[in-house]
Amino acid sequence: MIKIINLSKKFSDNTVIDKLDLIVNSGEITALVGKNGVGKSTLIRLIAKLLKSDSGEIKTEPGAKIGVLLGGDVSLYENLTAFEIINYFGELHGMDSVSIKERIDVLDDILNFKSFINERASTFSRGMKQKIAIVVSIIHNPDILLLDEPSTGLDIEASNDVIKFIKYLKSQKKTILIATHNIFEISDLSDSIAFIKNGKIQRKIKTEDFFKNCPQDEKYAHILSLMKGEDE
Amino acid sequence: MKEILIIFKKEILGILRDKSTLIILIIAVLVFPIFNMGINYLNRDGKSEVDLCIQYDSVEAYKVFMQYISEEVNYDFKVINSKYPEKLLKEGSIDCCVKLNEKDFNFIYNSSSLDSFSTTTKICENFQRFYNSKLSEEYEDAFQLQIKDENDNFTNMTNSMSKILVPIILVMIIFQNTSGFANDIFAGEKERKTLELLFLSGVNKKSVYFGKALALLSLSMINLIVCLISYFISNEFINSGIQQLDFSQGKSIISNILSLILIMIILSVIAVFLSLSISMISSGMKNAQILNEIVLSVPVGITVLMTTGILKNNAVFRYVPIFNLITNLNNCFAGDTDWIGLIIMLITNSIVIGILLIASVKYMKTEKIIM
Repeated sequence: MIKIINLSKKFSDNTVIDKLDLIVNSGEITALVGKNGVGKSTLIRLIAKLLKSDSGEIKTEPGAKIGVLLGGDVSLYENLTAFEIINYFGELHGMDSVSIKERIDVLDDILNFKSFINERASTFSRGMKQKIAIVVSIIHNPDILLLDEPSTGLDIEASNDVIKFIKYLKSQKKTILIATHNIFEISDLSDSIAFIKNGKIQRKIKTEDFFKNCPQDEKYAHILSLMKGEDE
Repeated sequence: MKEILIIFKKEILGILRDKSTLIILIIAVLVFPIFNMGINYLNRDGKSEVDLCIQYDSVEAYKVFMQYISEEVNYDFKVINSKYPEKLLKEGSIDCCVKLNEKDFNFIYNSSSLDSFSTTTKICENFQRFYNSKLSEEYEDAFQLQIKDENDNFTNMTNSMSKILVPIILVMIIFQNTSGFANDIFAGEKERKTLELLFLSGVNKKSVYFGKALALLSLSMINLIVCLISYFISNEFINSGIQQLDFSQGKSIISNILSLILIMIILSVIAVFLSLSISMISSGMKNAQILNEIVLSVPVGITVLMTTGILKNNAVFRYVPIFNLITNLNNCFAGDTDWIGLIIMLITNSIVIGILLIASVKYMKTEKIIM
């Protein structure tokens, strides 16, 4: 579980997160939905402790391991091979070489990356990089996953890898917070949707309830109409 | 500690596989051989006509010598007769005086004159081999080749030039190459966003800093070792035809070499922490490169000013970090190691390193490090 209480964050005079409250239940996927610049990425980075909050609290279960996958251009260490990168992060998470190799075998069944594991990252396509970034984010088998627009800018094959990855996490009953614009991730993978605007959660609702009686081809419009309503 | 070693290992692997590292190390290897070849070229080919004074007891030796200079040396010689050639040498009227006796030859020159020095070097270069081959067997190896410097104040122009340029080149290589390695360590990772990826693993930020600093320090030491070995070897072999940099004036050669190594280590450590700090506060590689060039031009500038004598040595410099490094470096090349000065240098520069280290670790804890 992730429990966020009264969280605030300012950059200079710009308040990005403003007394935000949110609960992400254990074993659930919560989609964080909102326009660009409303604070989704900042919230993910605050939970991941990349940024320090000005006030408020973020609570997780004691000892819970957190994994993070950031969207946008995937960056890896260009001079290292995929194995060296995965091994590096595995070692930093305190894993020994045997458990890293076992974990690689498990994740290869989902993402199929072993064919290029000994090649340097500088030779990778964007899709290959995305696969390795996913492996790096869950090499240590985290309990909580924070995904920041994981499928933005990806081609169909790479997007499919992300979906397979989220489905795998869901089957593992992981606690996931996913900032996304992807309708499939929102409607078919998430258990609840949190709408964020001006650094505050405006509404949190069960996905099932939100899309009740909504035809498949009108789901986007349904989200947009709600976001527009919030604007008004 | 385990985290530091993991980060250190990865950094070393990444940097060693980077093509620019290879270029940096090649520069470190080649700079002194090229420098020494340049000095040699300057010394040997500076003049086409020289004035010689030849005195001889042995007619056979005189004939052989004249045959030698006409066949083996490309200079045009003008022979000047004088009873007091040493005086002419000091006045600069002749370039070299050759005294040919039964058992020994004396080549007398004036090292304060580049022409005198280079002419004598040129003549002496192959003379012994040539003379041995021409003389009858009973005389073989029977003579001694002696070279005498008539310059009273022992200032040798080539040595003076080397003593000015070598410290400047050393300081430049150390700072330039270290900053070349450091730019990528934080600034490059920030630019590619891999630093964010690293912090997301929950690793201790202090460990990240020390792991990276250790890697940079190791590479800087490799750079230093390569550079010093190249310097000593090229000085010994490429420069063998001319007088060597004299480390041994006044103090033992070992103490001068040891002090040179100590100074270079301190210089490298300062370069490491300075360029690492710049890399940390820069948002990208280009920024880091520009900032590094600006900041690192300060110690290089101080070296140029102090070594060329534009900035006169002041007693206060002994206690000022960086300045005392350069003072000690110059002392070392003048063959005059000052051990108390070295200890003061060690203490004051360690304080600077400590301040840089504490400030960097504090900066690491802020979120500016990923911005």
